Amino acid sequence: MCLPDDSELYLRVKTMIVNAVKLKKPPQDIGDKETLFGAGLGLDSVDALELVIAIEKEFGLRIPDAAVGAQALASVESIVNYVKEQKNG
Amino acid sequence: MLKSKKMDNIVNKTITDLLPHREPFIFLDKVVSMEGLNRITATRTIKKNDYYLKGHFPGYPILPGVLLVESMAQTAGILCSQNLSKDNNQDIYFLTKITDVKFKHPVLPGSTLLLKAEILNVFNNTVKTRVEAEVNGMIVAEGELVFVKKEVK
Repeated sequence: MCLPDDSELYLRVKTMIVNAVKLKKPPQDIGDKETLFGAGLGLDSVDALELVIAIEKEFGLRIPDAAVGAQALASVESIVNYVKEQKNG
Repeated sequence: MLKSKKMDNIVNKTITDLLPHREPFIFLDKVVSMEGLNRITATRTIKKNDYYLKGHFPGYPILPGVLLVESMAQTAGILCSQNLSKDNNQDIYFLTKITDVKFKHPVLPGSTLLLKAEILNVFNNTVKTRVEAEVNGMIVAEGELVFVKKEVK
């Protein structure tokens, strides 16, 4: 169960993903824990770059390398956690 | 020091030293400058007897837009290679995404294209570039191209 401000952040991240990779589904239809790459949402390495750019633009946060990216970009939930960690840390 | 040496070297190299492509699929003549490792400028002159002009179009030869994109992609590919690859390796940069490309003016035989590329973002093995082609100071095409590095062993 998300806190109210969390659910706002989740929707913001989902909307960012839809816009960044031009997904043909509404943000609300992306599951919080759904895998973004491969079998889940089906994103690829080119989409990963678009997400990195979008996160920098939307939240002012850099994803420094592939290792951090692999963890942070795994799902909507992991992006939300990365944003919260970086903003609070 | 190393950077400026690399820049001097690149301008003096032939295109086949800089690209994995070979004829009949080389659509660049020369690299004319590099600014740091993030910007590059190259040229290509469209010759009246270039083979594809015969069919595009009979009686009204103009450079096909797809070949203009290829010239911009080869320019950006050299930049990616200089920026990301170690010396002497054989990496190939595959064009994986073309966005917001506009063809603003037709390019006629005899024109010399000034092809510019700039690296916008790099993540892992993926590179986003901004490209532009000019003829006589007028932008004839522009857009963004994304490449993925493939290491060839």
